[in-house]
Amino acid sequence: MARHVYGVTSAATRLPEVLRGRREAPVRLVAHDDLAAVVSDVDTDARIRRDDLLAHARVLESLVEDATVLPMRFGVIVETDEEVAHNILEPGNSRLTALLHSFNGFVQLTVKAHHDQDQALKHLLRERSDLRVLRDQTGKGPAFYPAQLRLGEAVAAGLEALVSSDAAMLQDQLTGVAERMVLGDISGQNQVLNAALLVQRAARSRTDEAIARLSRTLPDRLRLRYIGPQPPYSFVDGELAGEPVWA
Amino acid sequence: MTVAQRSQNRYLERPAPSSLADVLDVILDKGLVIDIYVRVSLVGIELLTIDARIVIASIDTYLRFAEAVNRLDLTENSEGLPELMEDITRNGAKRKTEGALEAVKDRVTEVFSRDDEDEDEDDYQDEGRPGRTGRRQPEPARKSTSRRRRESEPE
Repeated sequence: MARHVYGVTSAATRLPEVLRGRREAPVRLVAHDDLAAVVSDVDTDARIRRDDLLAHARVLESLVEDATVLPMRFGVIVETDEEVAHNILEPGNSRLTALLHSFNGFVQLTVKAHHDQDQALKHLLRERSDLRVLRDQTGKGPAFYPAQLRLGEAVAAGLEALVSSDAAMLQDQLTGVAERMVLGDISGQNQVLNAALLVQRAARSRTDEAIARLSRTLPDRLRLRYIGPQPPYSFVDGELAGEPVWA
Repeated sequence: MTVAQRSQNRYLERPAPSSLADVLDVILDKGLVIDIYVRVSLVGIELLTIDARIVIASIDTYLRFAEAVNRLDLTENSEGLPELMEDITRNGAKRKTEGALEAVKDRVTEVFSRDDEDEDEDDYQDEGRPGRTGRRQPEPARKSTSRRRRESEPE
């Protein structure tokens, strides 16, 4: 049995009475000086399932309700508690302590936006007479194939532009809601925005209100998802900028 | 009925816990990492996320857009038009609004559920299997787990 490492927190952190990690294994702390790693036992031979990935996220999410936690990327497995203490917490002590300090009291909230495709298409057609003209030139049958392609290509380009302008509008609206904001990759069709917000735990209800207000004022084509609280995944990454904590 | 029409955004009073599609990018791409301790086959998982990110810009996509646009009725503003409903059914999407997210999630589910089945299988009967690198013989026609089970039993 090895240890799956979820993240690093202060040694003073109190875990919830019952906290289960990957494969329902109890989550515990391995402390060294002022730091503690959040771990659970894991069978290294076990292949990764989707609930392993979810368990990693859920353990961290339940901890950040009350504590500051630096999230580990999924997949860090260490053989023994001693190794956790001496190969991770000890050499990384000053860096980890500094990071914990800088994120003290903060959580990440993620806002994702995507387009309702039909609504987005309707919007495009209403706004763009050139697309309506292209549409009128199409019809059924192979003879209209080139016209269909022309229309489809123009629509695809139009949607892309709409994604950009809606993303810019959302970014604008979200500015000021959070202490910091970083934009992640948008993945897949219809995705418009993937914004990570760094928010003081104490300011969460204010953020909730701001997002609720935003969601009520958006045009029909835009759908929001509001996820969290999470550990500061997107910000830890930025802090480190590829630099290892462990020299 | 304005409330119902806004149902997609209505639940945003509080943030919700993440789904796998929501966290896949962050838990695999972000956070602290110690290379020497990374023990899972991240190669496969990274491929998976990249795969999920691919936006297909192809002739098929163009034709699909053209078709969708041709069906839109601009004179009618309300949602839930019969032809839109028809559209959804025809495209086989559970909910048109969640299309992209569902697609990502579905793919993830698909890939990982294969392992789930394997794992259950292993738990029950495969004590002495080789380590996690020991993927079984390549099996033809990975159609269903039950078939694969049957196929691998004679070994």
